[in-house]
Amino acid sequence: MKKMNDNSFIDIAFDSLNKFKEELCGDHVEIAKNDYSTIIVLSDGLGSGVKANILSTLTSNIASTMLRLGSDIFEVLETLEKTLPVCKVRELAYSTFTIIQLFNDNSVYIVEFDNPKIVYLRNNEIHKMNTKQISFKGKTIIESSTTYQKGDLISAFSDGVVHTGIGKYIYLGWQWDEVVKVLKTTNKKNKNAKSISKEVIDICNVFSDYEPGDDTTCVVIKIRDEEPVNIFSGPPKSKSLDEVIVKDLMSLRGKKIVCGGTAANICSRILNKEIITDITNLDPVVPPYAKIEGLDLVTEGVLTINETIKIIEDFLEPNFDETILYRNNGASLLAKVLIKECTHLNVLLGNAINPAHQNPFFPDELSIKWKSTNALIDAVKKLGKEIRVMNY
Amino acid sequence: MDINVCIGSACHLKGSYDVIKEFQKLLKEYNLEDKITLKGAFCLNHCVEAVSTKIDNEKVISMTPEKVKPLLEEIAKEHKWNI
Ligand code: FES
Repeated sequence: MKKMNDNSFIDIAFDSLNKFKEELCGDHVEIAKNDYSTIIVLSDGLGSGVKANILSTLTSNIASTMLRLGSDIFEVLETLEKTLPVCKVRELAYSTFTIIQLFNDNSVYIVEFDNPKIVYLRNNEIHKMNTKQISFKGKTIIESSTTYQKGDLISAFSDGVVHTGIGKYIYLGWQWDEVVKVLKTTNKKNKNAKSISKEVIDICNVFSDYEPGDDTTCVVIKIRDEEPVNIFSGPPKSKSLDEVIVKDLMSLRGKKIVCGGTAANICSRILNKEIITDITNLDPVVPPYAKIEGLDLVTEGVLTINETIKIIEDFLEPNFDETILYRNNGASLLAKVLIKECTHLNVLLGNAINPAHQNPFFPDELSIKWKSTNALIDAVKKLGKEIRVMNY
Repeated sequence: MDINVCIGSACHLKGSYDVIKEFQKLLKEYNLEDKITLKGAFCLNHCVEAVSTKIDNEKVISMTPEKVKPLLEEIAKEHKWNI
């Protein structure tokens, strides 16, 4: 999630399933950043439930914090060895891990201990890294390095993924090569990391008949173009700011979206461009969207935003129906941009109290415009996007 | 002639969808589609009188699906259109 000079962006997403009937996940993912790198650690604790959860949380936290502060891998291993509580039953302190460190100079450093082999795709084919084995107190650790470039995909997963379906639908579990195939096909279809990690985990859920036999986690990292999205919503506090907000919107890089009738009317007046609505495809729930030359999308406000939030929240749940994103209405269009394209969201938030909406005869839904916009911001945060809010 | 039906939040909640559907149906039935263009407008600042509708640049009137038929008949009569 680190910004670099060439406008590339590290898009990181992960999804997990808990072992059936467990409340806690024994897998843990930790993401940390320092001035020169982004660190991602996936750890899978021995066993399941609380014990596994503690082991993996400790492991990924120690590793990510130490690397963030500049320690090398041997110091990390040393500390893990000394810190991890020893399981009384098994007399073992054990938690697997995969560490991925992406440096600002585009080098990648990967350390793997006992997790399924990492997948590194370039041009959607397996990319060979420089790999060597190191041994530490009798354990074999694999160290790899390469330099990353735009379009690369890195995926790490816990053994729950490759053990998916054992004894159920797939006799030997979901083989590593088969997982790679799915990563390739979903990678082709999606720019964003989240859609890919979700797809893998959704498949695991289905293959295990919704009763996962193990904690199951998939991390996906995609190096992609930065795609900022800018949303102007709600009229500014004073009329004199109308011009400022529209100018600011127009000067920003990336997609420009206006949510709300008043905001749309302001844009139309200041840009001196007509609002063109399309009422041929009417949707009973979401009011029609419109076009203004120079803007990418113009929608109605509150109702569209509320529906968009609903779609994003559904998306974050298991087994989301993707076709919703391809419907021809303002909410689906907006949700699709936010889920699939956006890497950074700028919200230009006008703080006027809409006089019309203050009318006591007015439906409640409308007096809560800023509440909706803030709820939208929260939903987009859950998608892992970086958000900046500018108030007017 | 343009008929602008407001599709803003308030008007949508108070039934723009049905008003537009009714207009679309009757414009076709009366064969008025080449004479009258139906358009969607964002908030016409008469939210309290939803569903706000504006004929060309005249003043904003409040519509319901039931009012669509008499309105079109009146316009047709005024312009001596045969419907
Ligand atoms: S929403 Fe229709 S007049 Fe305001």
